[in-house]
Parts: sequence; C-alpha cells; structure tokens
Amino acid sequence: MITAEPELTTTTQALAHLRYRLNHVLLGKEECIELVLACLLARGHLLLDDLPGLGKTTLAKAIANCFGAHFARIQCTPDLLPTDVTGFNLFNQKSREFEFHSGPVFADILLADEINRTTPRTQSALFEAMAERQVTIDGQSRLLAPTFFVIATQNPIDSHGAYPLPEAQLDRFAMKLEIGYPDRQAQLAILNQASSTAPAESCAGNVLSMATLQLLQSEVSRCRIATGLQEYLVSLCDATREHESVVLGVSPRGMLLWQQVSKARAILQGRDFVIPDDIQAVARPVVGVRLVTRSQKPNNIIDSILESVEVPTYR
Amino acid sequence: MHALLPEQTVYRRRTQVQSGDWQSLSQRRRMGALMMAAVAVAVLSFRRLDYDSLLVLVIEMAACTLLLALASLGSRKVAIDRPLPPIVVLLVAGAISLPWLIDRLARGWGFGNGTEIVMLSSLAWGGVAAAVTGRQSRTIGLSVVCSGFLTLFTTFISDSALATLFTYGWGGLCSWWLVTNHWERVEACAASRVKVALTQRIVTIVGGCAVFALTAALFANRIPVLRQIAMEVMPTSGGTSQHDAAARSGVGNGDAIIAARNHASSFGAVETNLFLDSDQPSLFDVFSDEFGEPMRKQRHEQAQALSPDEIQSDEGSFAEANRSSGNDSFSTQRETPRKKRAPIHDLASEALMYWAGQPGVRLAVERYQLFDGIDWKKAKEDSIGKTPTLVEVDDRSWFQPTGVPVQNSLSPFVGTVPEALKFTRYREPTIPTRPGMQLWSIDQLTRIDFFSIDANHCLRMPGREHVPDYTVVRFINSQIDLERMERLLESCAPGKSHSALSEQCTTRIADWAHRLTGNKPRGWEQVSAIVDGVRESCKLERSQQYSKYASSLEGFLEERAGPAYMFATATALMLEHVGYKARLVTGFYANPRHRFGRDNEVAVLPSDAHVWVEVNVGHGHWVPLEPTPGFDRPRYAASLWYHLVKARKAIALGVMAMLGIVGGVYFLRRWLFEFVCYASWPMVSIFSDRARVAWLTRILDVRLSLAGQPRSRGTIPRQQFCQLSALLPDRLQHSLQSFLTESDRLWFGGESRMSRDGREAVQQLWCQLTIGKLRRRNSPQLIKNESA
Repeated sequence: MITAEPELTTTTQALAHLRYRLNHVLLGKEECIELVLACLLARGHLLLDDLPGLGKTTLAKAIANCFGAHFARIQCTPDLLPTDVTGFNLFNQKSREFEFHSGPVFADILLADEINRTTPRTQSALFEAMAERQVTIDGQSRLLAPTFFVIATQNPIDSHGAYPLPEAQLDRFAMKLEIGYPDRQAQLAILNQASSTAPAESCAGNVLSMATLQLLQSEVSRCRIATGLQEYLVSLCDATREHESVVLGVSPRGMLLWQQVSKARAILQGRDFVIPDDIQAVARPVVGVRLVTRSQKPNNIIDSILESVEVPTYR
Repeated sequence: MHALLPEQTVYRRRTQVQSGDWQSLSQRRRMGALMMAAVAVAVLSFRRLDYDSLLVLVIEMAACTLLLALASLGSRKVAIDRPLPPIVVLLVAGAISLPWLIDRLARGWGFGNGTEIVMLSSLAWGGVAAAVTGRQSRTIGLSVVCSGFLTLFTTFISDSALATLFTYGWGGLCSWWLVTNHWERVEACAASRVKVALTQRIVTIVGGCAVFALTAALFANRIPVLRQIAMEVMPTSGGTSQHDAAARSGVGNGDAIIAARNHASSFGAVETNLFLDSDQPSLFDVFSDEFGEPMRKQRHEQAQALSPDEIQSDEGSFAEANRSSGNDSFSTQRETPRKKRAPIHDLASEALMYWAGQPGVRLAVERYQLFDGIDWKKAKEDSIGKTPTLVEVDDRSWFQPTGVPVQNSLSPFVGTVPEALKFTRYREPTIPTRPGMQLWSIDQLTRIDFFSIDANHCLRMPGREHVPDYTVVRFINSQIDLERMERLLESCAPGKSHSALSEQCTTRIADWAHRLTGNKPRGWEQVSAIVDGVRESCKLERSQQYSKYASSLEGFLEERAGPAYMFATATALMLEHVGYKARLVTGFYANPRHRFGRDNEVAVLPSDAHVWVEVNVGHGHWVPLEPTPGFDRPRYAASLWYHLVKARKAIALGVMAMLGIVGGVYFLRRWLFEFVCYASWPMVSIFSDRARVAWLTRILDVRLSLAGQPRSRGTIPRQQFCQLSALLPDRLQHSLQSFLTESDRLWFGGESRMSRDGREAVQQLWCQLTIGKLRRRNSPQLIKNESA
C-alpha cells in the first residue's frame, strides 16, 4: 500500500507556492529558480555570474522575503575590510569591556554584490563562514545561522580593477548560475508588472518559515541515493580530473556538494530518491564553478564528460 | 497550481519496503533450496540410470513431482504462521513414501533397487518437499542439508566421473544461495569495502569453486587418510573395492580383479570365484553365438567344393570346430544365432579380455583370403609360421615380427602407440592384434619360440591350448597415415578374382562396384566410395536369413541386409573386382561403450566378435576398413592441411552458407528481433520485476540501435525515450512514462515490486513498441511534417 506522508505533502505544496512567488519576481527564469532552490535546500552557496540589472539582487531579496529570513547585503568594493563583513569587537569605555558588533555575515541570507571587486583579503573573510558556518573574531568562534546562505554576484565584463575569486573560494560555492536576459514575453511582463505594483510586493507575506526551510534541508539529507549512482558520481568526478583540457577537476568537497544538490533536485521533483537525471541536470552549474580549464569552455567539457561516462540504467 | 505539484506516490512507508524485501528474500531462499534439491534428485537419477529402468525412473519422478506440486499449491493458500493443512501433509508423506511403493512394483517387472537406493530416493524427495512447503527458514535449511548430503554421497558411490559435475553444480548453487541470503549482512558489516555488483558475486563464487576444485585436485588424492576414508566408506562384500562394481555386487572380494585391472602386469585374481565359476567359451562358441553356427554341408556339396584329400569326416570337423575357431575357413552360410543378445549385466564378469588402448579399434584373430562362394579360406602358405626377433629396449625384452614389414617410406604406418591387452577368459592360442604392430612383450618372457607369426600376420602361441589367463601383452603399435595410404593405394597391385562365384553374383557385384566407384580415380577415393556405399545402403541385421536364395551372398545382394560378415564379404569382393587385394578378418571390436574402470580400459566381450575387411596397399601392408554400419571407422591420422584440402568444397560451401545466413539475418534482423521478443514474452512471467525491467531496457536499446538511433553511453534512457514518446500513440506514451517511473522506483528508489500498471506497461512496450514505430517516429522529415 502506498501512503503519502502528510507533512511532506504540505511541504511539497509549500514548495510549489514558493516557486510560484519566485517565478513572479523573476519572470521567465523557471529553470534558474529551480536551481537556486536546489542550492538553497542543499545548504550550498550560490555564485551568480552575470551582467548587472538582470535581477540578481531582486531574486535574493525575494528568497529572503519568502522565508521571512534576515537578509543582509554587502556591496563589495576595493576598500571593503574583512571586519565590515564579519563584524568586530569594540571596547566600551563605560563598561570597560569589548562589545561585539556583528557584521552582515550573521544574516540568514547574505548577498555579496560584485564580490570580485573587493580584495582577496576581504574575499577570504568569507571562507570560514561559507564552509563551516561560523566566524572567528579575536580568537572567538561565533556560529552563524543554520540556514546561512550566501548569494554572491560578479560581473563577467569590465574586469579592470577586479580580483578574480581564487579556486579555494570558488570551491566553497555549490554552484554558479548565469541568469541571462529574459525572453521577449518575459520582458513585456516585466514592463506590465512595473507599471502596476513593485515586484517586491508580490512577495509580501512569508510563504515558508525558516523552520520549514530547515525541515526541507533535513529531508534532502535523508534523500536516498543508490550505490550505482554514487559510483556514477565518482566516475564523473574522476573523468573531470583526467580530462586533458582540465587543469583542476572536481574536488571531494565538490563531489559531496554535487550529491547534495542532486538530492535537493530530487526533493524538488517530488521524489525521495535520486535518479541519474538529477545528477546530470545539476552538472553544469555545480561542476562549472570549480572546473579550471585550459582553453575550452567548461560547459563543453562537462557535456563531453557526461556523454562519455556510462550512465547507470535499469540493468 | 496543481500542475506544479509533484507526484505524491513517490513517498513510501519504509515498513512496506522492508516487508517486500523480506518476502522477496524468503522466496529467493526457497527457490535456491529447490534448485539444490533438484540437483540432488538429478544426480541420484543419473546414478540409477546405469542399471535401473528409465520407465520406472520417469514414473517415479512424474508422480512425486505431481504430488509435491499439489502440496506446494496447498501450502501457499495458508498463512505463513498457520500449520500446514492435513492434505498437504498427506501429499508430502505420499511423495516421500512413493519410491518404496514404486520399487515394489518395479520388482514385479524384473527391475528394482537396493534398499539403500530407495532410502536415498525418499530422502531426495523429502528435500524437495521441505523446499516447496517449508514455512520457516530452518525447514528450508534442512532441505539444503538433505540435498547436500545426497549429492555428495551419491557422487561418492557413482562410477562415472560425470557425477562430480553435479557436485560442483550443487556447490555453486549453494555458494550463490549463501551469498544472496547473507550479502546484505556482509554489506552492512563492511560497507566501505563491499561493492554490490552482480559480476562481483559471480567472480566470488567462480573463484571459490576454482580454488575448491584446484585444492581437491592437488591434495585430495595425496593424503593417505583421505584416500583410506574414500576406500573404506562404501560397504562391500569384503576388502576394499575402490568403487568396483563387481565387488559391490558381492562377487569375490574385489581385490583380485582390481589388482588385475589396475596393474597391467598383475597376474592376481587366480583364486577369485568370479573366474573359477564362470564358463569360458571358445572362440568358436563366441562366433557361433554372435553370428550363428556354420550350416552342415551335405557330403556331395563338400565333394564339389573341395578336393578329395581335403574332405574330412564329420567327427573330425566338429571336434576341430569345437576345440577352436581357428579353422582354415569361415562360412557365410550360417544358422540363425542361437540366442538373442542378452543385456550386459557386468562388464567385468563377461569380458574375455581388456584392451588398454585406443577404443574403437579392431583386434584381428584370423584372416581369410579366398572365397569360394560360401566359405572364406586361408591361403595355403598361412600354415608356415615365423618366429619373431628378440630386441632389448630400455632393459626390457620385446619381440619384433620378422615376416611383417616395419615402418619405412613405403609403409602406411607411422608413429608409436603403447597399448596392452590383458586376457581373462580367452580360449584361443592366437593373440588378437591390430595392423601396424611393431613390438610386443610379456613380462618375464624372453623365449622367441613362444610365438609364431603366420603369413597373414596373425600372432600365435604354438603348442598352447590358449593364451594363459591373466597374461598381459604389451604392444607398441603404429597409426595409419592417411596421406601415405592414399599414395600407396594409387599404385598397389590388383587383386585376384573369385572364379567360384555364380555368374549372377559376379554380375551384381560388378554392377554395384562400378556404380559406387563411378569415375573416381584409382586409390583411396574408390576404396572409400565402396566402403561408404556399403555402409550407407545396407542394413545391419544380425539374424537375417537367406534360406530362399541359392547362397548367402546372393541373398545379401538382394536384401541389402545381413550380419557383419556379409558386409565384409561383399565389400571385399567389390574391392577385388575393381582391382584391390582384400581379405576378410575375424576378431573383436573394442567397443568404446564398454570402457571400464578408472583407466578407461575397454572390456572385450563375446558379443564384440566382429568381421571386417583389410585392403592391401602394396609392399605387404594391409589396412583395416569398416564396411558395417554401427561400428566406428578405423582412425587414420592425417595432417591438418590434408583435412583442409580434402574438405575444401565443404568449407567453401560452409562459408557461402554462413555468408548467406549472416546476410539473411542482417537483412531480416529487425523482423527476427521482433519475432524473438514477441515469442519470448510468455517466458517473462517467471522473471522478477527487476529482471523484466532490465530485459525490457536491453530490448528497447537494441530496438533504438536497429532503428538507427542508438543511445550513447552517457544518455539517460528517460531523456531518449521522452523524446520519442512525443510522437507515439497515447497508450504507448502512457506506458512509456509509467515504465520509466516504475523503473526509477525499482532501481533507484529501493522498491522491490512493480505496480500492476507498471507490469502492464512492460508488456505493452515489450510487444508493441516495435522498431518500425521507432523508425517511423524518429524520421526527421516525418517529425517535421507531423509537427507542422
């Protein structure tokens, strides 16, 4: 007998509402929103690599609004200091004690806008926060929110005066997305929407609570993945490392994130188990962020690897 | 909004999954135990086939299988925690006791088994019953124990080495059973080191079996204790028998015959009751039993056929005949054989001698060259015997024939083959030999006057009534080289003609010979055409009578049926007619079916008395020919190149036929594949759900390949099939989606069973999603048109 679990059914309905809201904020980008949600449920961090004005900040704010989360934004500039991100201890003359002034990193959702504009020193201030969800200031570790989610953006053009993100930093992102321009229909819809109400207003009211987000994230961890698919993942990662056009392949951390994002996609698709489609569907954004290539475009290499490695089938 | 909602049925209760897994595991255990029990029944049946009636065996198997099938059906209708219903218990009891009942009935028909075999049969069916009706894992385990004991024990008491294969089969199944039942536990204990893969299981089991077999081969027979255990485990009537059939059947103590059989130089077994009590027929009796006694001739017939000084009194003639078959003649006018050929009960007690050499050879005793229309007679010079030459080879005395040509460039004989003959109940002074004998020896015998070789190359022991019992004669023989024989036959001297034949016989022999040889060139082609023609156009009838004809030869030529000596006679006459020298040979055929014991020696029985032909290839060499159907042809050695050249036409035809078949299969491959798929669907019902999905995936992949759109290694089936489904009929689209969803659940979601919809989808896709539909649907032009 097949029985649907009630709480999960509620959750999947809530996810559908979330999709609906976000699709009204960022018009014509359903696939992109699906991947952003997968990244969020997989407890990863997102790098948006795209031109200005495509709705990156709007998307981040909309997600925060939907979950009723604490949202913070950093506009990364060359003079931004690490303490501007993490916070700092300030000596209180009156109480004769140091008081901690928390930085934006202590928000639930952090938007690091144009992260490649700031210095590597400030970029690396995010290392510990992204990987371990904690920051250490003056020798004292402080835990971040359990749902801490970084959305970083960078501008692919106008690279003069920019500091490209180091590989170690890139490896801490779960995926890199390019939103791209909306199609004609979506642009017309944007114009109509702008003339009526502000986009943010359509996200008024929380669809999900942060507790529900945590529940979904725990569901992702419990999602089943068959041994054959794990072997497939390992084969794919090995293939990235052995590819002749690749300088740096997928690390074990990247492999874990790939598995986690695949599980998140399975949950978003309404399954409690991963199928090969999930692994292939998230391959480009997950692998693309951490693949260092010689000359070819990463997406071409990823496609060729997906073509060459035998996919597990029903045999 | 609802369109965005994911399917809810993907979420399952874990308890349901676990319950399904448990049921599947239990079913798997039962099937494994049943297969092992079937092996046990098979090995026991294999053992019983040696002596038991096939009909009795089939009746027993059919009846027990039926009873247990009914018991299985009855037990499945009852919940697993309830006791078996009385009717099922009765059916099981009936199946277990049925071997006893059938054995009682079989004894009335003249068959029957020993008590211990009936007990084993009951045990075997008890094992099957435990497997099919067992409610608990311990009952199924009991079935495995029963089948294991039975397989090992029956293999142990079997004479045939083939029985060992059953043990290996059982061992493989048992390993598989254990692995499949406990693999999950192994996996859980060492998850980081265990890879769950079918190939790994197979490799583990095959590797284990190989190590077991190697260990057994290396050590089992070298450890004295194990050997002793093996020797003593079987109850015999005395002594250790080493599985000897004679000893087990209670004849003698078994030791002597084993000593005589296993050690070529042994002269033991003299005191064995087996030999002292058994009758020892003369060769005359042997031939009379096999071919019938020669007909008595009227005195005036003798006067016509023989010169006055050759006429003997009846008394003398019969005395000679009774003493030995070593007459100067072999008559083709014979009575009907006195008794029908009785079934062979025991090779050891009936054997005249044992041949340790190539099976299927002919051992010549007498050779006849002249035929007067009724009798074959020896040449006059046959009576002159020559003593052999003594040679020393490796500190051993060997005798070499003096009158017989040895190997040289003008001889068809090449190589050396060591062989031996051991006499037990042979009553003749002539030692049977095969053509190409180079040397012979008898242990501790160095006097050359013990032997004599006549002009027909028959080896005799003059002055002795017969070759002493338990004499072992070792031979160094040669093989016949076919290429040399062909070369020699092309230029051999023509044979004589038999003027004593009636005109009618002469004409018919000539016609037949010319019809068979046709325009074939002189040599082996002509000879083999005659031999093959006789083999193919005549029928072996041991008791054929020619009373209504003037002579047996005339009768044979008319009826085209008769005993072996008529085949040989007709062949020899035809060969002589077309210009080859031929002679009739009487002796024994080392029947390959009478192989005996561990060394595969051939027991030569009285029923193996045989008559054949030898043809002269020139330079004093004779080679045997076998014109009688049912007897193996003599083996001729030839190089691979020779065989290839000879078979060039057949090879060319075979290649062309193969090309034709391959071409036909290639052009009809789609149709053939669909036919095989459609025909195989009824068998799919016995597959598990996973196996159905796996096979359907393979089939769909092949169909895609045949449709010209093979799926690449990295393409997910769902992607490719979803592309196809857009242009398929609705029901197939639905089936395809259902199949993909169910398959995902089955293979990646941890489910153990498919839903009813999924199974129906599998059936529809199996039988209806044909290559034609895929090709039509995949045609780019058609897709474009249909989209438009």
